[in-house]
Amino acid sequence: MHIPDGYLGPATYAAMYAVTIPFWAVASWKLNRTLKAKQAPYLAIGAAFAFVIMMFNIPIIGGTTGHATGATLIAILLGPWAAVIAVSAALIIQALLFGDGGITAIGANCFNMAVVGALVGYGVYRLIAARSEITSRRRVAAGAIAAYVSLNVSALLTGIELGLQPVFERSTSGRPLYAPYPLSVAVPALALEHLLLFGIVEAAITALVIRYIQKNDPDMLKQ
Amino acid sequence: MASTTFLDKTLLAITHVTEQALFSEKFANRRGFLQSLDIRFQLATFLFILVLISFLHTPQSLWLVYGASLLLAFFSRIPLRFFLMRVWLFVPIFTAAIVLPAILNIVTPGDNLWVLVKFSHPHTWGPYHIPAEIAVTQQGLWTGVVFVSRVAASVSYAVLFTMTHRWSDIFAGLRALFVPRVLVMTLSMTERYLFVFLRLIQDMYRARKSRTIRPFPASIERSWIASRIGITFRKSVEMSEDVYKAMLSRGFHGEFRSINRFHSRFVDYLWLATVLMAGGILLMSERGIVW
Repeated sequence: MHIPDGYLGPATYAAMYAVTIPFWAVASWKLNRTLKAKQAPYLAIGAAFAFVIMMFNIPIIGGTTGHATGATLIAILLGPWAAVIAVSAALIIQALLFGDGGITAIGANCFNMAVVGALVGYGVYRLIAARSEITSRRRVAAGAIAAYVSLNVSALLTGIELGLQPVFERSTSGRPLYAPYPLSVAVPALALEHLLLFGIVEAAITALVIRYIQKNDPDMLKQ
Repeated sequence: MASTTFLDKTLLAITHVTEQALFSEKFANRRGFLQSLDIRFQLATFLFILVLISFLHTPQSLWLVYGASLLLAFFSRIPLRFFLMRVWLFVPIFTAAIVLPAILNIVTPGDNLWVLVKFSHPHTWGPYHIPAEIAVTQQGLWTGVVFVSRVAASVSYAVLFTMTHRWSDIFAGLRALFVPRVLVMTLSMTERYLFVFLRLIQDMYRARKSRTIRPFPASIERSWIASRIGITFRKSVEMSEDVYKAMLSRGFHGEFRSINRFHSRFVDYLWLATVLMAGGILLMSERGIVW
């Protein structure tokens, strides 16, 4: 889902930076009130965790493997605003140091995966978990559904951003200059694989980790 | 039964990250042109070049900018073959593969160059239209070439930038672009703790691999992986507490100060002026404002 450089036109990536920066500002302000000086090590280690969670390959079917993005899981464990900053930091490092996702697309990638991933995931989790017991099965189901929904919303947004390129970002002769596929192709291509495969992987990992934490360290779920 | 592919893939992913870090350190220490520049100037000019690439409209301009990246790699003492492999493997090749259908008249209608398939009549399903002749169009080919050239040029500069500076310097240089100090500190601390976690995961996976005679059913393997993620998270919380206490014991009181001292020279200003002028002229000539 990481959009590389060259896929989004200047108007889109500038707009995505403009949309994402206020979320970073609100997240920093909220964390500054609660964490203060403790903020940097807490977020840095949270971001390192957000980065490595993508390295855990899990078996799916017949020798194939997949991995989670972990935005919802991190939002459940660290809180939604800490997750916005931690996942964003992980995405910025991936773009700057590993070429995974574009530098011009950092705003779009952070909005899709960190802002929407964490806030939608956390919102759905709180809605379903409500005031249930920390060790209840309802929390496991809430985590799974939240992870599935948030990943699919992120994928849908990515598809829309890519699909809008041939509409808004064209040459003077009307030819597409960036991602060339229209909404009717980009959205189903991204949505289908996340609805049928990656969303299920994300939901399974989130549910299993929540179950593990419920058994071994339930206090960590008190966010 | 699940296979143990997931163990190998995770170990391989960890090795890949470590390998990239080692290569960057190796090339950043060479005495080349880009390595000699002040990181603040390089960061600003590379961001300018990436933005410039996104504004260019013709393949010729994009190839010119791409060609300049090869020259810069040469003068920065980066082996050309290694550089080409790092750039072209994955993103541009992946882009070339996904752009293939876009060169056809199904996605980009226009003047047919080569007819590939002929049907008796066209088909339409909702928003999808399959013409009677599926062909490569001139407009589609142009779109594909521009798209792949843009991605390759962007990736070239992104790779060149990360290969010619130490990662810690890159984060320190972000301060010059008015990135908040707390974010710069968070990023540089993340980079350090990332390798601590990678080592932790590598140890867990190696230990597991060394005692695996035959794999368990996939459901058990998935539970094992979930437990490793849970353990990694618990350790990360403990570590953040320890790091904070260690910072306090060294006199930290919430103020972030950088130990990096930058020294700009005449060559840095010359480099900045050259890039800005060359970029401006290229963009204006492409749009027909000059020449």
